[in-house]
Formats: sequence, structure tokens, C-alpha cells
Amino acid sequence: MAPLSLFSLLLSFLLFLSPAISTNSEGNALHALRSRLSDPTNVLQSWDPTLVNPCTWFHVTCDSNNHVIRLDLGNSNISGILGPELGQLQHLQYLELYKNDIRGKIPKELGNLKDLVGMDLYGNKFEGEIPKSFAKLKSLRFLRLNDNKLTGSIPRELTTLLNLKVFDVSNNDLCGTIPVDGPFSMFSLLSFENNKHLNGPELKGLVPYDFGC
Amino acid sequence: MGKLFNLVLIVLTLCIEIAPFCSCQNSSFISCIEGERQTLLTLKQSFEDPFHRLSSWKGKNCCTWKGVSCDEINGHVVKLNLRATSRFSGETVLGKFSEESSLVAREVNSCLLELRYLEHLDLSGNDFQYSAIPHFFSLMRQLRYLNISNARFNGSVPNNLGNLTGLRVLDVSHDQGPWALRVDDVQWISNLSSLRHLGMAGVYLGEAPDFSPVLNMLPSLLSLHLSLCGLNNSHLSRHPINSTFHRIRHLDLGNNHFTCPVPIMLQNMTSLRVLDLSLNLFSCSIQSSFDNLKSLVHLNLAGNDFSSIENGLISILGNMCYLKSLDLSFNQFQGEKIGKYRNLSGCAGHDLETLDLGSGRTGGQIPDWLGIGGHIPDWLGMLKNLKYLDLSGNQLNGSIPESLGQLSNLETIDLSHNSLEGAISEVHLAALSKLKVLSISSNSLTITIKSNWVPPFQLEYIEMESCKFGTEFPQWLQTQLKAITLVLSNTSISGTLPNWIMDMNLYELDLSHNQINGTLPNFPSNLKRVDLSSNWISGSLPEIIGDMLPQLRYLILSDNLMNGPIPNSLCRIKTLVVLELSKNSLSGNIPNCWRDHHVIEVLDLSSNKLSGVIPSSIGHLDSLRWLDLSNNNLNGELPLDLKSCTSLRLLDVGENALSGNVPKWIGESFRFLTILRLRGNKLKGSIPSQLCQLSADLHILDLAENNIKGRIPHCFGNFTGMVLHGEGDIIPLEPYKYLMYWEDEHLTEVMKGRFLEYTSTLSLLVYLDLSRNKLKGQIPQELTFLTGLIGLNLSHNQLSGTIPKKIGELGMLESLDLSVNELSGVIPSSMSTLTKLSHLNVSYNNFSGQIPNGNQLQTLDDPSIYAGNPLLCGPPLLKKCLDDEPHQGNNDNGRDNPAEKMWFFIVIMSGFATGFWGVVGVLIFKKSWRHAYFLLVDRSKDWVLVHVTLKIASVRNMIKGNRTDE
Repeated sequence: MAPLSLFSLLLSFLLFLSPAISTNSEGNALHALRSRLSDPTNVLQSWDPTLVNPCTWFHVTCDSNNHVIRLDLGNSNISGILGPELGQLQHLQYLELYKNDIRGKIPKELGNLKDLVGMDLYGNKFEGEIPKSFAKLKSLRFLRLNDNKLTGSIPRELTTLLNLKVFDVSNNDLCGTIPVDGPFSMFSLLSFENNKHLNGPELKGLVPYDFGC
Repeated sequence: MGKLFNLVLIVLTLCIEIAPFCSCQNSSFISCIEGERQTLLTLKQSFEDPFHRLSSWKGKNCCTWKGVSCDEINGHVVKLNLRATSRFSGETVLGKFSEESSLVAREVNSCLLELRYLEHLDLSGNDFQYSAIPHFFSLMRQLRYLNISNARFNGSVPNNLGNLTGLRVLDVSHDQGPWALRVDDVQWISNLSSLRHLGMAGVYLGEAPDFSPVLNMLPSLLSLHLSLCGLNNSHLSRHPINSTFHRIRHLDLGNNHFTCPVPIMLQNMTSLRVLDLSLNLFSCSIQSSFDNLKSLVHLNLAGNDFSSIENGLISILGNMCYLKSLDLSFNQFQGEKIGKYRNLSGCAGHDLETLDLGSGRTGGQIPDWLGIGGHIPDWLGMLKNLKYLDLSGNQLNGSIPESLGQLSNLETIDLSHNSLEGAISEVHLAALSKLKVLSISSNSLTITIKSNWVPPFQLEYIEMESCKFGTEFPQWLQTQLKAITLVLSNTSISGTLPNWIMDMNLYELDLSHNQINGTLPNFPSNLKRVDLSSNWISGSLPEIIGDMLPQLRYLILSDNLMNGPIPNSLCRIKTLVVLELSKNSLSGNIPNCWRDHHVIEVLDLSSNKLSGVIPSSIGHLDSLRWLDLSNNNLNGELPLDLKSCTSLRLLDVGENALSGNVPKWIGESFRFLTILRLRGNKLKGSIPSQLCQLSADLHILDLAENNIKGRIPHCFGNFTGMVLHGEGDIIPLEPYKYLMYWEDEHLTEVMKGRFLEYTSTLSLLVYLDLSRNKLKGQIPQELTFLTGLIGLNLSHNQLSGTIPKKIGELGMLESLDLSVNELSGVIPSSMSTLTKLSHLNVSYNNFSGQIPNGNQLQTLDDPSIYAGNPLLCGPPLLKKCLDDEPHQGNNDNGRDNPAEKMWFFIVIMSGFATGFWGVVGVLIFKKSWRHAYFLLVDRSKDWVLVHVTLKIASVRNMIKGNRTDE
């Protein structure tokens, strides 16, 4: 009997341990994010890094396994930059950071968020290119990057995102041409307007897609 | 620590002053004068003496009475020392405590005047019950020493004390209560020209004029104590007359309002040995201000906003060769502070005994605190005389240098609340034979000390929270029999607790968050705090636990595997303040033996298997602030006696089987209630409108899962604690500052569709849950006043009508559940302004029309949250909206705004109509225009045909021509 109970104890301990470890890393990732952000209105006040998991932090939503699935910080008056640690939120489905004052590049590590359904980074001051790694976001349905300071061309790799329903890069400083393959065949030209160097739909074989970049 | 040195120095100074009078000490052979004996007896009569300090005051020879000294030759009483001595004092995590054996009297008896030869009078520390300092002291011209400090006097210090021109020592300091004593005119002090020691700490001098002219008149002054006097730079504005200020040895100006620049007068006091400027408002660089003070032995600059030390700590140590203690704790240093060790030039630090750079738990701003990558510098190990070292809360990283282990005089080391890593082994500790305080909590340290190690020290205070032991309970602690505090929480300790814990003299034992198993051990009977929460302790609570631990204040055994009943003996611990037994398997009834004398503030018995009713005697616990009985099997009604617990901040009886109505008296009784949770019972009846009288601090109201009928009262909009003040703010936290246990508490609420246990973030939660009842009627518009709400759950009721139009004003809302009701109408477009919303459920109602669109709502794209509303349309539902479908949709991006679209079409149509009928209409009605028009068309057609034919012919010719060229 004793070995059995010992075993079950060990088992329960391991079971207890495994989600704790994984979610704590998500809490650490969010805490690292917080340390990069300036938060004048204290919307991140509840982000207590000493908690076992971040599920009772405000603006964070977990699933039943205590994995972070939503980060809702739209319109929150935060500024600063993003870091690679966001890529550790392996189960994230919605990343809502729209209408803030976030600067710097969009971390390529965001491409690791394989469950991501919606990413709203619009209305910030992001610069640099749209990461090619976004092509790995196979579940992505919404990608709104409009009203930033993004440059470079629209990565052709994004045409493989077959679930993409909404794509908006208007009001940036992108260049080249607009993809026409895959989901891009459905997007309205409004999604691309106000990019000074973006030269209309791609003419395959005639003009390189990054023409004018 | 600096304060302690000050104290020592005051005592020393006083002893020097006393010395001349001590020749009369051996007065047992002199018999006293009868008249003076009678006077002393009258004096004795005037005192209450609860500690029998004057028990020796009997018999003929008053010169032998305790505290009385007579002149050797003439037998007159010359000295009266009635100073109250401290009976007991100490400091633990629970706070400082001291008790003095005071004599008590309503005023000082004027019979003292009859002791005409009295030169030395010490009444300090006694209790004169806030009477005035008597004016008759001024008639005792022979006095050379007068100490009435901390004797509970009140009012103004009489000016006529200036008549006592022979005084060498005057101490009227007052540390009991803020500024009970004051001095408005300081001129009289300049009459006391023989004064060597002047103590006025805690006496309000804020209204007094510049102090420096007075000081110029006191040429003998050696020691001046003016801490907490309400002083600022204007009180020391004049330049000193050199001869005076070069004598002052000890100056205490702590706890005032001095700012930079440091007054010139101070900078030139070159004879200073002790300088205390702690707790002022200095915010400049330390360095240059104190360059002249080369004789300093003790320097206390703690608790200011000093910003930097230009050349680092080492330059201070190099300049002040006699420095024994340096307290720079709690400042705002930026960048380099300690400086790199090149060579400890000359005298640097040879005498240093105390070095305090701690910031407690607050932490410095800059990781490289010490200017050397944030490591503890190795050279600290060369300060051989160091007794006290505090580097806490400075974000230090790296490992602890072994050189610190060479500081063999060290008594206190506090490295807690940093990011130190690596192992602590015997090497670090083997030479520290005098160590008493070891605090290395909250780092990432691993303890590799062998279990059978015999330490060279006897620790009194052991704090090693979050250090990793990873072993059974460390055996070497068995030798630490003097320890009064032992904190080993979160240290991966496993196995059972050894029995020898009982032999330790502990006041405080914190072993929480480990893997300790077995049953509760026998505890040392002195314990005031036990925390064994979050372990694997099994078995039941000893029935006589209350008799074993008669001084217990905190008993925290939550989150273990304990069973059996809660022993009645707990009621016998009169000192108990916190009792937390939650998350065990305790059964039986809650003890019903609580009486008025109890001081319990936190009673948490939640998540056990307790049954029976809530005992009425809980009503005796009138200091109760936190009552959590949730998640048990309690039945019956809420006892009316609970009304007496008017200090309650939290009342949680959720998840039981309580019956009866929601009591009306809840709203009337609890003026401070922040959290009311009655979820998951069998309560019936309607929500009494009296509930709206609940305190202005109410943040959480949870009545879910009961059988409550009727309407939601409109007055719910009056819960001002749920209203946001100012934009972008969170609910102000002031009410919680006074609730010291808040951070340790927990509460489970349904947020975002699942049960979440809130702990440290609980104080921020604002939540209203009325779900799963039988509520009818409309959702009151007034609920939209509650702008601080983070969660609102009205689901599973029978609510009808529409969603309040202004629902968008609940801008903090993260979770909104209105599902399974009979709500109808359109979903208000203002919903799209809820940018924090991450959980929404409006399913199974009768909503109609288009689902609003916009910022955050477009991210809530799971169609199931709208299911069961057949008349709803638009994304994310597959059902498309018809044009005549009523809609209020709104799109922030302006892409699909229907109103805009409509206008677009109207304008196009009207334009088309004007253009079309303007031409066609005219042609129909005017024959001549019609004729001319068709003629024009015919001619144009002919012209185009001719031109096209010609062009084709010429192109053909060209092609032919080209071919012939080839």
C-alpha cells in the first residue's frame, strides 16, 4: 500500500507541477513585457509577478489549464516597446494592443504564437518591417497593423495564411506591390490605402513585388 | 540602527554630565533631614506606583531610598532620580514593543520646591497624564540637571525655565504623540549659558524664529537634540560664530524639513562627532556638503532623497577617518554609489562598524546599485570591524562574496530582497561567531550547509524565505536555542518537523509553502506567530492547542491536509488576532465559545467540511474585519448577532446551505464592508433595498446562485465604491491601506466564465454578480453608474427589457454575462466602446437586429456568445442582415458604417436622377432640341466612322510598307 500511495503522491505532485511551471513562464513573459512598458494610468497594477499564474491579472484571460489565451490592452494609454518574450505565450489566441503608444519593431517571435487568431497592433508607432515569421500563424483570422509607421514590403509569405479574413495595413509607409494570391484576393484596396510607396496590385512576372522599395 | 547609536551617545553624554554629582553616591551613612523626608513621602503619595518602584521609600533614612541621594556633609537631598526604566523591549517582525515601569500622577507635586538643595532632578519616562510642565521649576534655582523627557507633558514649555541659569543639562524631549509640547519663543534658552546638553526632540519649534542666534549664546553646548521639531532651513540660516560651533559634538536634526543646500552652519561644525540628518528632504549629492566634517564618528543620512555620492562610498570612508557608523538607507541614489575599490586609501573604513545601505523591500531603481554590475563588492570584506551590514532591497545580483565570511565581528547581516544567486555554504558563515541576525530572504540562493554542521554563532533572528534547501528540516538549526524568529517559507523543505522545535525559544515560526508532512509537532509555548500554510500536514488539531500556546497572535494552517474538529480551546487564546484554517478537511461545528474579550480580526475557516449553524457567539468578535466561512456545509440562517461585527470588511458565507431571506440588517450594520459574498446558498425572498445602504467602500457584491426573486433595486447605482473617480483611474485604494492582512487573503469569483481565485489582486477587483437567481424586471439604467465594474454577471435570471443604452460607460468591464434571460431589443452600439472587454455572453435572450461592430467587439468573434437569439444578425453570426434590419452597428474605422453607406447611395441616386432627367426630360418635352440632338448624334457617328476607316487604311499601308522594306 505504501509504495502505491507514494507513487500516487508523486504522480499528483508531478501533475500539479507541470501546469504550474508552464504558466509561470507565461507570467514571467508578461512581467517582462510590463517592465518594458510605461503605464501612466496603472492599467497593469494588478500584474503581480509573485502569483502562481497570471490568470487573475486584469487584461489577461486564461483557459481552463491556466494558459494565457487573451491579452487585452487596447486603448490603454501604454507606451514603450515589445520584446521577444511575448513569443513564449504559446497558447495566446488574441493579442490586442491597439491604440497605444508602442514603438519599435514588431518582434519576429510573435510568429511563434501558433494558436493566434487575432492580432490587433493598429494605432501605435510600430516601425520596421512586417515580420516574415507571421507566415507561421496558421490560425490567424484577423491581422490589423494599420496606422503605424511600418516600412518595407508586404511579405509574400503571408499569402499562405488561408484563414486570414481581415488584413489591414493602411496608413503606414509600406512599399512594393499588393499581393493578390490566397486570401489577399478578397481584401479591399481600402486595407492598403495611404502607403506612399505601395504601388497597387502585384503584376506577376512583370514587376518584382518589392518594386519601389 | 543610527537611532540606537544616538541613544548610546545621549546616555554617554548624560553620564559625563552626571559625573560631578556622583560623589554623593554613597550616602547610606548620612541620615536625612526629617522635613525633606516628609516632602519625599508627600511626593510618593502623589504617585500611583503600579510597579512598586518606590517600595523602598520607607523608614527613617531617606538617603538610602532608591533614587534619592543626599549631600555627604549636610545631608540635604541633592539628587532625585525617578527615571522610568524600560522593563522589557524588543523587536520582531511583529513590531517593536517596550513597556516602561512608569510612575503615574495627574501633575508634578509642588512639594519638590521644599527640596531646596536639589541639584539633579530626573522625572523622565513617567506619566504625568498630559498635564502642563509646572511653572514652579523656575524657582528651583539650584538645579543643574533637569530631565523631564518623555514624561507625558502637554502644552508650552514655560519661558521662565530661562531663570535656571545654572542648568547644564535640560531635556524636555517628547516622543509620545506628535508635538504635544511646543516652544514659540526661544530667546529664554540663551539665558542658559552653562548648558552643555539641550534636548528638545519632538517639541514643536516650527513657529519659532531662527535658532542660530540662540545657539551663539550657548558657548558650552556639546550636544543638541532637535529631531522632529518642525524645523526647516530658515531656522539655521545665519552664519555661526566660530567659537561656539566648533564645540558641538553631537547634533540631531533628524525628522525635520531641511532641504538642500545643507545649511552652511552645519557644514562648518568641524568638531561634530555625531550628526543625524535622517528623515529630512535633502535631495542633492552627498559628497561636498560634508567634506569638512572629518571628525565624524556617526553619520546618519537615512530616509532622505540624496541622489548620489560623487566618488562613491569609498570617498566618504577615506575622508572621515573615525567613522564608525554610516547610515545611507532609504535614499534615492542613482548610478554609482559605492565606487570601485582601488586601495582603501589611508584610514578608509578601518573603524566602520555599521554600514546601512538597505532599502527594505522597496528596492532601488538602478540594477547596478553598487556601480560594479550590481555585485556585492569583495572589498566590503576588508572592513574588519563591521558589526552591522544592511544591503537589502537593492536589486543586487551575482553571488555573495566569500570575503563577507571573514567579517568576524559581524552581528547583523541583511541581504534580503535582492537578486543574489549561488550557494550559501559553511564557508560563508564559519567565521561569523558573533552573528545574531541573518536575513537573506527573497533572493535566488541555494543553501548547501550540511545538516550536521555545528555553527559558531547563536542566531536570534533567522530569515531565509525563498532560499532553496531542498532537504528535510535542517538539523543544524537545533543548535540555535536563542532564536526568536525563524522564517523558512518557500524553501523546498520536506519531511516531518523535528520534535526539538519545541525546545527553541521561538516567538515567530514561518514554514509556509513547503512540503512538510506528518502531524503538527509540539510548539514552543512562547510562540506569537505560527504559519505552516501550504504544506502537507495531516491529522487533527490538538484539543489543547489553546492551552499550549497562550500568547499566540497568528495561527495560520491553511492549505494542508488536516481533519477533525476545530478545538474549543482556541477560544481561550485571548491574544489571537488571525486564525486561518482554510483549505483543510476540518469537520464538525464552528466553536461557539467566543467572548467579548477576543481581539480576533481575521477568521478564515473556508473550504473545509464544517457543518451546523454559524454560531451566534461570533457576534462577540467586534474587532472582526475578515470573516470567511465559505465553501462548507453550514446551514440555518445568518445569525442576527453578526450585526455586532460592525468592523467587518469582508463577509463571505458563500457555497454553504444557508436558508432564509437576505437579511435587511446587513445593509444597516456594516459600514465598512468591502466584500459581501452570499453566493451558492438557499437564500430566498427579494433583495432588500436596505442593502443599498452598504458602505461606500463596497467593491464586490455576489448574491449569485440563490433563489432570490423580485427586481434589481434601482438604488444599486448608489454603490459609490464601484464608481470610478477620474478618467483612466482605478478605484482608489485608500480603504485598504489600513487592512494589513488584505494581501494574504483570497476569494473566488466567476470571472470570464470560470472560477478564479483572487489573492493579491483582490483589492483591485470590482464585481457585481446576481446570476442564477429568479430576478425579474428590467436591468436598472442606474447600473451604468458603476463605472469601476470589472465584472458584471446577471445571467440565468428572468430579466426582461433592453440592455441599458449607456452600457458603454462601464469602461473597465472585462467580463459581461447577460446570457439566459428574456432580454430583447437591439444590442446597444455603445457596447463597442468597451475596449477592455474580453469575455461577453448575451446568448439565449431575444435580442434582435445587427450585432454592433468595432474595436474590441470585433475580437470577440466566437458566434456562440450570441447563440439562441434568432433575430440577431451580422458578423460573427453567419446570418446576414437585411437592409431594413434595425441596426445600430458602429465601426470605428468607418469602413462599413451603414449610415454613411446610405448617404452615399442617396447622393449617387439624386445625382443620377438630376443628370438623367435633366437631359432626357428636356428631349422629351422640347421638339426642336430633340431634333438638334439626334442630328448631332448622326453627324458625330458619320465623322467617327470616316476617321476610323481612314486610320485603318493608313495603318495597313504602313505595315505593307514595312514589309517591302525588309
